[in-house]
Amino acid sequence: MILNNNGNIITVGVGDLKIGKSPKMIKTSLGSCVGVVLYDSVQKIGGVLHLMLPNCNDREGKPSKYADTGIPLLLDLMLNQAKSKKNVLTAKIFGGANMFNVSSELFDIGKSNIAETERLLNHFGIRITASRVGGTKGHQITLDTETGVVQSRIFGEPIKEY
Amino acid sequence: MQISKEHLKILDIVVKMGMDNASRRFSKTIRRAALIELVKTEMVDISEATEEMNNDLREMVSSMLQLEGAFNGKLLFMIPLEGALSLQDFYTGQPQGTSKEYDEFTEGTVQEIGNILASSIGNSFALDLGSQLLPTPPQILCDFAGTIFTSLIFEEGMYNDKILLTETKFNIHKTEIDCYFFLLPEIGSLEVTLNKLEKSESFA
Repeated sequence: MILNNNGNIITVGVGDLKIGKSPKMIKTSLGSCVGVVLYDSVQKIGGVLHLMLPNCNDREGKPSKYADTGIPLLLDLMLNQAKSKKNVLTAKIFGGANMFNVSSELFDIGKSNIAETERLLNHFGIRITASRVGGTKGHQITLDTETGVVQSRIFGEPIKEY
Repeated sequence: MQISKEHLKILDIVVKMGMDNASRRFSKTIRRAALIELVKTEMVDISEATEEMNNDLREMVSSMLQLEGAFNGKLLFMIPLEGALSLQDFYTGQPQGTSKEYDEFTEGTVQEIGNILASSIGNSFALDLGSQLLPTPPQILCDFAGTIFTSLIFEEGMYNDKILLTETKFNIHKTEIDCYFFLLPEIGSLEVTLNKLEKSESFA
């Protein structure tokens, strides 16, 4: 959870979140986890949250592991640390694959992560402008904070921009 | 349970002995020297560990197994896609460059190497503890390095922010092929094993 100034590439690990200002690029790799990208086009500041599970359910540990504690935290960083205005913030979401070969919807963590992420962003009034979610393969995303464009690469598929 | 520095040291010794044994069997299988470049056992933060792996953008093939017995855990053997094809040629005794596309033979090779490494580790623990550590059949994953690694740590990372991880890096002699082997014990299931190891004559 840092405003990273070392080098131009910021990498986000599982259950973590980072924000950066242009010309930084923020990247992460996703499986069933969901990557939430918030972008402030006025200040050219972006933030990426790599969440693992939909709900914290009073569990201890990193709040950025969960959608219901991580999304408010990312929003708080963008609004209070980066001084972004809420009405200029947009969201893009990626990942949420079914990586564990489960047929039951109840245990499809990727699907639950996507649903909770969409619900929370809607609850906080943040518009989702793009998403590439689901599937059964991993996902690499890179946010260019200069343009707000997210380069998305799914294993075995061509790179797309959102 | 709390993992002390002493526990880490003991685990590191057992794993190093196991990996030494594994590298010999690995070398014999592929008819090339598999050199251990690194073996480290440490408590790592899940975000930091995956951050490092997310910097590796290569496509990988991996074999993941569960361990059951003296303790529960997971093992992962991971190799870049092009390395897996070379490994397949070594394994089948064909000239390098024969295997060009990932297929069921590549999958079988990676699966077999996962089995060999897992049984070497199992044997090592059995010798030091006199108790069983059995691997389940391997699951093959072909994906980005970061995604595969996250699949390995996901379950343990759900309950703990820090995980106990043993990382081994091999290099195949006179090639550019590097491959990884990870051992991830469930911390909660380690207590009995570590106490047994502490009392073992080998570590007294």
